[in-house]
Amino acid sequence: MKRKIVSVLLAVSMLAGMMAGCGNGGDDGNAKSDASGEDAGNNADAAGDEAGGDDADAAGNDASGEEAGGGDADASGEEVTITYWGWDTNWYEPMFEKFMESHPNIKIEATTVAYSDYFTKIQQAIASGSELPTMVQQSCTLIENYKQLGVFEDLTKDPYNVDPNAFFDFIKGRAMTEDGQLIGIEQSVSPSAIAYKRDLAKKYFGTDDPQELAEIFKTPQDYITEGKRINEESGGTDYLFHSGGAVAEWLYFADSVDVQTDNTINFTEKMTNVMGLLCDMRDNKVVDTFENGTPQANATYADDNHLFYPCPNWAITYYIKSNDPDGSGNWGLMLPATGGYSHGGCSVGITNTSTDAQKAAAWEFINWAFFTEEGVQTAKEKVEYYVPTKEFYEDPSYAAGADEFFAGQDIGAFLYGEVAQSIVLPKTSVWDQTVIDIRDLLAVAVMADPSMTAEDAVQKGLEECANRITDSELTIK
Amino acid sequence: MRKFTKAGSYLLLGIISLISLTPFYFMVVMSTYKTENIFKGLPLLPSDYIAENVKTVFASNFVQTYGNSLFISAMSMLVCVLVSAMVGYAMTVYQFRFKKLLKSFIMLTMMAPTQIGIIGYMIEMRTMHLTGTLWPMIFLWFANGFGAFWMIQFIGTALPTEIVESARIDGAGELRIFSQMVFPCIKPGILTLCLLIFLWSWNSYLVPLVFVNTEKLNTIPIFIKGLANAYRTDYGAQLTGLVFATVPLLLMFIIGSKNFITGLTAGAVKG
Repeated sequence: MKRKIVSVLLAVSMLAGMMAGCGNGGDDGNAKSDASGEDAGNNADAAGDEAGGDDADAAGNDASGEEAGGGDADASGEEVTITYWGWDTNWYEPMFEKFMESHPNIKIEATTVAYSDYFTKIQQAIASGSELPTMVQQSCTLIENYKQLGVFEDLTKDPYNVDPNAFFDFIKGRAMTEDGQLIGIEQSVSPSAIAYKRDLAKKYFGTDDPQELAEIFKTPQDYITEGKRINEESGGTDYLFHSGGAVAEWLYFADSVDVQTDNTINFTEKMTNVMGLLCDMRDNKVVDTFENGTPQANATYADDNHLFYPCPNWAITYYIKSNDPDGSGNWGLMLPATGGYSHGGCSVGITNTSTDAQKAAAWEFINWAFFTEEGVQTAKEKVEYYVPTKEFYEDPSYAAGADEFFAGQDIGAFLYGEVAQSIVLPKTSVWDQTVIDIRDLLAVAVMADPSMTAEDAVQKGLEECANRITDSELTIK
Repeated sequence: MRKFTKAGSYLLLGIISLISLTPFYFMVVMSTYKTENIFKGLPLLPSDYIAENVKTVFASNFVQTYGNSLFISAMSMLVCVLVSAMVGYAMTVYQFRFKKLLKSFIMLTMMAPTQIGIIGYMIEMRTMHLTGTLWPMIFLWFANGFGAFWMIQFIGTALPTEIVESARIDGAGELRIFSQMVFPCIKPGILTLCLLIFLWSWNSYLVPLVFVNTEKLNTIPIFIKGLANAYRTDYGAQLTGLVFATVPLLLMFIIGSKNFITGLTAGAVKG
């Protein structure tokens, strides 16, 4: 009997312990109530109405430094908790930690959401009127879709007063709606180039100097000629590139053709050159058959068989340094034949369903991260991210400095001086991500089927577009 | 000849077992590797990176995540099985109007995928002020079409109605008949359903994906997926998390396996 009583007591205490985890947790100081559909709708309308007004005043204001501060979350002394959904832990963990050190009254609760699920989760939260985070990470390939949601604060308006001209010209309009609302601030500039392994470059080209290499690879045809030679000389073991997907990604982002012009999706024009060059590279053994982004493909960063890797700024830490930790001193960065281009990136916006205190606290963070010396330096030192705010580049030492991993090459000056200044971004479209998904499928198909021509690939892509692009008012060419 | 057949059977069973267990073996072995080294070759032998992977997994609130998943799955399983068994009992033992229609309706609920109702379910939970808790991930299983259908079918074939009639003649109430007479007879069906509901709830991804908005409410699948970011996936840590995640399921199978193969109703009524 005693044992029975003890068992029951134990079971009840265990259940009580578990129930504790099931509570609503109203002690976190989170002032945000569930954003009802009605509220969300009203707020969105309000934002839209506001945006329709005259924004001439805001445009002239200086967004930088302390002047850009919106509501002062610290002034009241009350603790404010704001929320953030993101996939980019490498960025937000050190940034939030440092920010909260100097802003003890603001607590940021971050929830990791996988990149592939992110937009769906946001859409579902809006559709059901559920709680949105205070700050949202907006992927650049879905930026037009985010603009359509109508749930973001216009950062050019009071109390934010961000001047878009504070950012690099090529990127300042990406998170801006047609009627001039700025829904987010770019996390980082994403200049891209070609990374290479110095030992293999010396072996096959007699030099590891980035400028001399750029001279050798002046045209896309040079990649085919040299890549073919390397493969033949190595007896078929060495390739210029590791993955067709990576090559397609580079060529696609370097192409200045807009995905959409008015009511036309320019698929054929956008994809013909990309697939044509990819097929030529495949036929001449310039590119290996690894599927881009897979662990097997990532393992090639540390091998001795692949030379070139299309490389956005963020890939230096995410791909190169993490996949080839012993490769310090053996990497270089050179300008591709296509010129500098931008690949990837995202912006951070504030949701208009948040409370005023939360919006003020979120702005406090954004202002700190992108407009103050401490925040900008934190991004540089902890994440190797460089903000798109132009004024920081007035100090030549900001983006400069020898990188030992790249054999002392001044990566910052190269990417943010030489490459970033020459970038021209194509116009964004709500179908960007769809076309990118199709591009990835085609790259895999081209590499898997040696008989597939560029025309076949484009035709297959057009069929996919017809299935996936559901807007009947659009013409797919 | 019989010996030869027996040896062949064992060989076949051995091959099938090997095929089935190899992925588990690789999951365990790969969890001891650094992500960058996993795919450099075929990792047949364990490496020495397990401590780092465990550290990565436990650095991110894994204990609470594990507790959340356990609580959600245990509650879902207990209530779902109880409700389903009651439905099965009622549909088998009682005679009432529209019984066939009700059965068809139960089957109909199985045909609607969760994705279709997810927005409505989110609105329902928000109206009940249950968002921000674990309950939305539990309530979903309470009235489960499959569970009800499974128990209707199982009780229909495994429960001799004579037991119920005999108990009624002896003066037993319905609750007593259900708990003391029927329940033991349908134990294999109950345990199988327990296992299935626990498994589905444990591995559920979509519902937690839309309801989990803070790390405190994380469940195992969301947590493991979260170990990846847009550009790099920590496969070593993910596999370590998966190894931990598999433990309760293995235990459930080990504990329940004996009952799955035992027909408790055999001989329940003497002829």
